[in-house]
Amino acid sequence: MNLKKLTDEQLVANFIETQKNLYFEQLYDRYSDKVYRKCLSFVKDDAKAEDFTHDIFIKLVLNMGSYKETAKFSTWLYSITYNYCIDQTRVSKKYSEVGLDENFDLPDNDDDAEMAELEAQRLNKAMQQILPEEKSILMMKYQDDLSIKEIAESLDISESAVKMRLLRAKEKLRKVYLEGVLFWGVIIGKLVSLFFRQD
Amino acid sequence: MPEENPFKLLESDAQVPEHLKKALFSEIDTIRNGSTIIELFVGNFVNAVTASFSAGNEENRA
Repeated sequence: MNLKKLTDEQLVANFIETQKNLYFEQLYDRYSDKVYRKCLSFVKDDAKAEDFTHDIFIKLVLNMGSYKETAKFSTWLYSITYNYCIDQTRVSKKYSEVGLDENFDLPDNDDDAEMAELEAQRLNKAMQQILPEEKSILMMKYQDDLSIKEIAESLDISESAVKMRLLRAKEKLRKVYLEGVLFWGVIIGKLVSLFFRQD
Repeated sequence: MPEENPFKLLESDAQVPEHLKKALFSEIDTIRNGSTIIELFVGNFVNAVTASFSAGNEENRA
């Protein structure tokens, strides 16, 4: 049997039925790099990212029986990955906006074009300064291209709560990003003014 | 031309080290072997206790 032709869901079913490592190995080969990269984006430390990846795959194999085919396997795996990374890197402070109601309906958006205008290097720095929960929801939406529904299923929250969290995360990211731009703008301005003053 | 999604550019091209795969699969094997041993032990222990009781009853009847 050519394992490469099997879908993720077929591999899961075969693994559950036979408990043979070769099926899980195939899944590992397909997704280990992606999971490792996601962990790296949270911890920025190779050794820790390796530990996280190891733990996530152990968690995966132990919970394989609870996988329901209503969601794509990759979506399920990424939700395990994000939840694990959030738990490990969680900062004790909660959302400052926790009091806001997450259950009212929000338009389905919006300013994705504005997100596309951000510059990658500054965006990377800004992403390091927001909460892991905010970072993961942005990565799900813009890096993994998950739909609002899929994110809601992954995080086990309502779709309107996802929209609200996305909105907050984007606002926070934009604020941090612009602060960075402003900082460098001021520095460059100062340098230019010093340069011309000497002349 | 559509603008490139900057979030996609953030993803590194790092690859998971090979030794991690070996470590992971040996741990999975250990977990599986451990659960098999426990299953066998519990199963056999119950069988042995049941068998010893039934053997004792038969001896008493004789």
